[in-house]
Amino acid sequence: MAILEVKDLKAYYITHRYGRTTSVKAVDGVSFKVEKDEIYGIAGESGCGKSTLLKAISGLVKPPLQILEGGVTYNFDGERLNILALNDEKQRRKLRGARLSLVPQGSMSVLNPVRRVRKSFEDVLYAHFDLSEQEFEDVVRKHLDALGLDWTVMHTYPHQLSGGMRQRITIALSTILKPDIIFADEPTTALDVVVQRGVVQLIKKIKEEQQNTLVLVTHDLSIHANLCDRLAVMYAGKIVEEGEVDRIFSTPKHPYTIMLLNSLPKLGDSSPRSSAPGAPPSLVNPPSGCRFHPRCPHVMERCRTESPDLIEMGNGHRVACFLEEGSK
Amino acid sequence: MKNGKLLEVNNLTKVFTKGQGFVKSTIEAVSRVSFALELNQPEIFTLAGESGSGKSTVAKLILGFEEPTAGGILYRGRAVANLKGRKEFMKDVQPIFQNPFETFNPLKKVQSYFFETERNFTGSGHGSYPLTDKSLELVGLSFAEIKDKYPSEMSGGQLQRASIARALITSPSLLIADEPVSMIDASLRMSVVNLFKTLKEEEQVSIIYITHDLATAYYISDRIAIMLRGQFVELGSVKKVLDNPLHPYTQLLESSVPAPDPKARWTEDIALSDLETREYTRKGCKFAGRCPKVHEICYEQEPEYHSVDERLVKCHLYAQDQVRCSSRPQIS
Repeated sequence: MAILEVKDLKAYYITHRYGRTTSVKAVDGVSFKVEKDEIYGIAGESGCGKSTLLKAISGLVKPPLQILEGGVTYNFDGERLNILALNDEKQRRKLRGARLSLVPQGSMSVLNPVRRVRKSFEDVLYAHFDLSEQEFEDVVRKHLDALGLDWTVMHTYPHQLSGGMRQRITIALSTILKPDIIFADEPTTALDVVVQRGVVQLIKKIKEEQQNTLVLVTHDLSIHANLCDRLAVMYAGKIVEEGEVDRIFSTPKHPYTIMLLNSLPKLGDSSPRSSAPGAPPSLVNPPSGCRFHPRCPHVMERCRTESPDLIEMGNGHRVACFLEEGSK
Repeated sequence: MKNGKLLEVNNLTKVFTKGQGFVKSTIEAVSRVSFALELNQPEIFTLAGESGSGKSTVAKLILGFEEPTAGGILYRGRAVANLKGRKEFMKDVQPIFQNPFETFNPLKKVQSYFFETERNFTGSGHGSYPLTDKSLELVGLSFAEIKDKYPSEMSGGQLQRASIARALITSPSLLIADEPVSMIDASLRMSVVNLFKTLKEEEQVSIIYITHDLATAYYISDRIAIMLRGQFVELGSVKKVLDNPLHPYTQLLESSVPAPDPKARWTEDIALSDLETREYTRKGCKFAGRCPKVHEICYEQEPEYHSVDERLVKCHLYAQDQVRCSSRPQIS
């Protein structure tokens, strides 16, 4: 059963300045489903729209971000709910934290620097429940214990903690209400390998304990390989490939995915690796047709004018490329 | 000068103090670090370690942005600290910074950095800039690509290559690159890493490559030094150190590099790091609190460097007269 269904979502940043309208097509027709209890990964480079996608599906839509079309439907224990159709901010607030939770990017700036960590926990819990001080402490202590964090962190200011510790606290904070679905935006970026491994360890542990669904967004394919069940690769606002993680790593189909995987250096292997020519496109004026065509080694005439749709390759593997259409 | 040293770092130490009087506390950010780069023998030397291990401080000390508390840096046999020909040194040693978008002023055209550097270097007036063209060519850019452009109009990979090109105008013999690829998109990262390799091979430039990404370090470097809380814990050729790490910390680092392969997932859990300051002030081995092979002596006595299998390892495990404990002491 799919807990989250995104259909033809288009989210643009639209700004009007000096009589000119610019639209940044950050998410341009994205559809996917996330099954209950799975870890769904979204990979892509900076500026491909993955963070905007997360914002849109968690209902954090504020100008200049606008939803042009599409729907985001959640299914919480049989109750279907389109978060974009909720007009009332109060209703959305009730959902956030309790039903769905966002672990934001940049743990350095998430916690309020002038308040102790405890205050941040109070904000989250008191927004949803009426608790006495003792109850509050019990709930938080239990959660921190489960995650292997020390109670003393509650009395610290964020600047007293290392980056990894802050990230762990941010994760603890977003999962304290046992949400059904967690969206993690680059949770391991800017952390060292050892700390990164600790955070991955923590995410796995939370998932096991709380039995929730996780949507993991990061540009680091190695982290996806380590955690995810299914993976979607985004390029310039569109999903270009989606499928089980084993399948994507063993038999990638889209030229962009192949290129990304080939550029990854590995320990114990110093054979020459190359990166693709060109650079990711600007989303203000994305290339016509297939957005990857200016960098693609297999570009055909058709790619310049027509945009390929995601086509099913069997076993849930979907690819948006004309090359595969022919081979099918 | 044929067999001299290009750069010699001897017992380099930097102590940062915080507060005054009774609340004064000190942190030894870099502690007795020594290494040398040979003259006329270009190599890529990697400094690797976690954030807060002091690797960037080493770079700052070499570049002269910070003054060392103790120890010395010799450049071509002369002390850098009070070098008379400071300008010569600055021409010969060039930095490359982490985030290319912060390296360049967003309100200035990228080309102005090139013109300024070339004018300062050659002393020639306005007009043609042959060195700019040449150095851009080296990094695979053409002048047309950066002409009249502001940093925001270029991609991270392009801009980082431009930043390297700017450093190459003075034809330096040493580049100090502090996390040069960590802010660059995955698909463009290898173009910068490959560029370093070409520079070493074709332009005879030595590079101190500072990173926490062991995969790219393995890919390009010749020698590697693993840093932990201000100290080198293992130093040797990159193939030796990363193929068969000896220090428990290097082993932990090596096993924590995620493999881009769903079949090689992590299965065991690791001990997480203590508070940073606690590790800095630890008396014995700085890694004792997290080490899976810890002995009692590790808490008491700082280990020496031992030469094992063509590398230096700072660990009690490799001492000749090793003190063995019957069991691992309990740590809370």
